[in-house]
Amino acid sequence: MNVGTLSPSALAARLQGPGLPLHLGPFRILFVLRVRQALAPFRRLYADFPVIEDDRMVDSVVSCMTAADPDFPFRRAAISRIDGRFHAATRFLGNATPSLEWTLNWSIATKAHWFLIVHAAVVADANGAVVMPGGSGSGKSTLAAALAAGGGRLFSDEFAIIDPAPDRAAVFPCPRAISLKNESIAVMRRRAPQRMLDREFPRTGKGTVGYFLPSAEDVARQHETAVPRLIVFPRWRAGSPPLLTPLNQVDALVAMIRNSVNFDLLGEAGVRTMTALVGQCPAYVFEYDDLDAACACLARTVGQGAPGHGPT
Amino acid sequence: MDDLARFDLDFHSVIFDRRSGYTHILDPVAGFVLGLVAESGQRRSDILDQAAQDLECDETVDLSAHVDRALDQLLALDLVVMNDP
Repeated sequence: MNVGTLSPSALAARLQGPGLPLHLGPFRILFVLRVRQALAPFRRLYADFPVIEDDRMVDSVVSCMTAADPDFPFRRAAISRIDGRFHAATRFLGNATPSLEWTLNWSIATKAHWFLIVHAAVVADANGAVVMPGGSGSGKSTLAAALAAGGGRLFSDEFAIIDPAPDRAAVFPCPRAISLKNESIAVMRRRAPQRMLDREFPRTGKGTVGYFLPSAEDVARQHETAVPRLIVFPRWRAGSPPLLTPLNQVDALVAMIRNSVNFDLLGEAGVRTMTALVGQCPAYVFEYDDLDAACACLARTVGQGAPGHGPT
Repeated sequence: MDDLARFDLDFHSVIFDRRSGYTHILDPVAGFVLGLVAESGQRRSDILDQAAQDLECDETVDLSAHVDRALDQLLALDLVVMNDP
C-alpha cells in the first residue's frame, strides 16, 4: 500500500491520529501531521512511498502540529518535532510542509549515524551515481532536478547516504522531493511541469520554496544502491559554459569532509569510507549556467569515467 | 603504530589516530617517514640511514633535511615518539 492509494480522508485520519509510518529509502519514519493545510501537499510529495504495515519499529517520529506560538501565545503556529522534541515553529500554517521537510532533514542528519552522510544531491544513471556536494545556493538542487527530469534516477536532493562497509563505498537512495527555491522553481516548471508540486510556499526562511517530485520508478527502486562514479561540486555561474575543473584527491577529501554532517562521529569507519569514496571517484568543481549543457556534460563524464575509474 | 589506521590516497596518507580521534593527511614524505619509524625504530639516525637506502635521491637533495622536517611534523602531531631529540 502506497500513500497515494489511501483516500484523502483515510490519509488524514492516519496522519492526524496515530501517524503514518513510511519507508523512505533505508529509513523508517513515522509521520504525524496535524496541520490541515499540509495534508494535500503531503499526499503528493509521498504518493508513491510504501506504507509500513508493521509500525512497531521506526527510526524517527517526525511531527508537525498546530499549537500556541512559543513567541506569541495568542497565535497558532505549526510546531515541528523530532521524537517529541521541539525543532522548529512557523507562524504561517501554510508553510507547515517545508517545515516538516526540513525537520525530517534534521532528523536524518542528526540521527542516522550508521551511515556516512554528506550534504549533497545524488542522481544516478546506468553508469553509476553522481554525488554533488554543496551548500545552499550552489545550484545542486536545480542541477539534480534537471538530471532527474532528463531520465536520471533521483537518489536525494539533500544527503549522500553512504554505506560505511569496509570494501567499496555505495550510496543509498532516499528519493524524496527536491526542495527548490525562488528562481529555480520557474526554471523547473518550464522544463518538467508534470514533475512539480502545483503549489508553492512563499515567505519561508529560504524565500519561496517549491518541490520537484520523484518519479514512481525512483521510489520503486529506493532500496537499490549505486556505486558513486563522480563527485562534482556545483557552482552556478551566469554565462559560464559547463566547465569541469579537476580536484586532486586530497583537496576532494577535505571538501567532502567539510560537507559531511557526521564524519567526525564515525571515527575510523568514516575515514576509511570517505577515503575509499574519494579514491574511487574523480572529483571536479563544476561551473555551469545552461542546464541542458550541464546535464549533457555530466552524463558524458560519468559515461566515460576517468582513467582508473571505469565501471565495474 | 596499532593506534594509527592508515589509508593511502594519491601518494598521500590519511591517518586516523585511534587515541585522539583526529584525522591527519600526510604528504608523501611524511607518510614514507612514518612507515620508516614503524620499521626502523625510534632513532633519527636509524631512520635517516634507512631512508638513504630506500630512496634514490638526486645528489642536490638534502635528504636529511626532508626527513628531519617530516619527523618534526610527525612529532608535532603526536604520531611518533623518538628516543633521541
